[in-house]
Amino acid sequence: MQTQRDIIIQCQTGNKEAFRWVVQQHQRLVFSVALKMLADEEEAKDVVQETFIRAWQRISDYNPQKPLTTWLYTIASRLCLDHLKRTRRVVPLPEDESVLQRFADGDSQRTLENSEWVAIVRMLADGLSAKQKLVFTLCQLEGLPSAEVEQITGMDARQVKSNLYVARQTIRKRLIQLGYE
Amino acid sequence: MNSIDNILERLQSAEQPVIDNPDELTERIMKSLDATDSSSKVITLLPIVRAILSIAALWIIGFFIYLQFDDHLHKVPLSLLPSLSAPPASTLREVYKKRPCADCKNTISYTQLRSKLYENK
Repeated sequence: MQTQRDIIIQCQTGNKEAFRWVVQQHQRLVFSVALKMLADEEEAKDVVQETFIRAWQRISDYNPQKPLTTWLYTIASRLCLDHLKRTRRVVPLPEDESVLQRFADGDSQRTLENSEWVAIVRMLADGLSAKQKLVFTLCQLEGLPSAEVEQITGMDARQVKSNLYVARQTIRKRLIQLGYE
Repeated sequence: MNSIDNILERLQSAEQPVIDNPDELTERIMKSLDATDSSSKVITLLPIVRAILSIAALWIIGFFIYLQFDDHLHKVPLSLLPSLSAPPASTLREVYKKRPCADCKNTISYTQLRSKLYENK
């Protein structure tokens, strides 16, 4: 049975079928972070595609000793930040508030639809800078440890903490304005 | 009303978003890898083409400079030049300069001509 490391080594020799396995295993993870960053399903898919294209082009630079997910998160995060610089600010729609309300009042086991994720992210992330949004997404929504977030973002521990604190405070104020406590 | 912390915790523990048609996205990604492979071949040729064009540009500039400084190419027999209607010469120097080249070997220098004129006076 081949390990992930063996498969990566095969990818580095140009084996596209091995890379197909990598794509199938990790595209949902990349899609998750892209959707939460960009709040648009089609743009998130574009970022997923671009992430794996870049990963393929730079696969020879990847060190198999390090986690593949961290590397993919790094590529995806940079693409999302570039995309956010180029596009206009995403503003919440009037119906987004009712989506957030339904989530807050609803069953904790219920799975969110992608459109609901988009609505909730639009509501919460309004007013955050790109870096704050990235740190909040990786730490709070993806649940990644701080050490990994530091590697992904290239920030030091202090910067990650600071961005996360500001993001949380901004979101907290927003939710208080909406009537949550 | 649920607390804010509760909302954030539930978001963190919520299941990751699902791709509508994951196989379609995988195929799209794999096809785009083929497209980037063919474009990367073109990209590898670019430095070679750039080097050839740079050498050609240097050669053309060098040849141009050579043409500018090579006197041999600028010598054209006066007989081949079209006759220009020049204004009549007024001073001795101008007459001397405008004399036809066919007489160059047999004529004296300007200084000698001038001294002869003074002697005649």
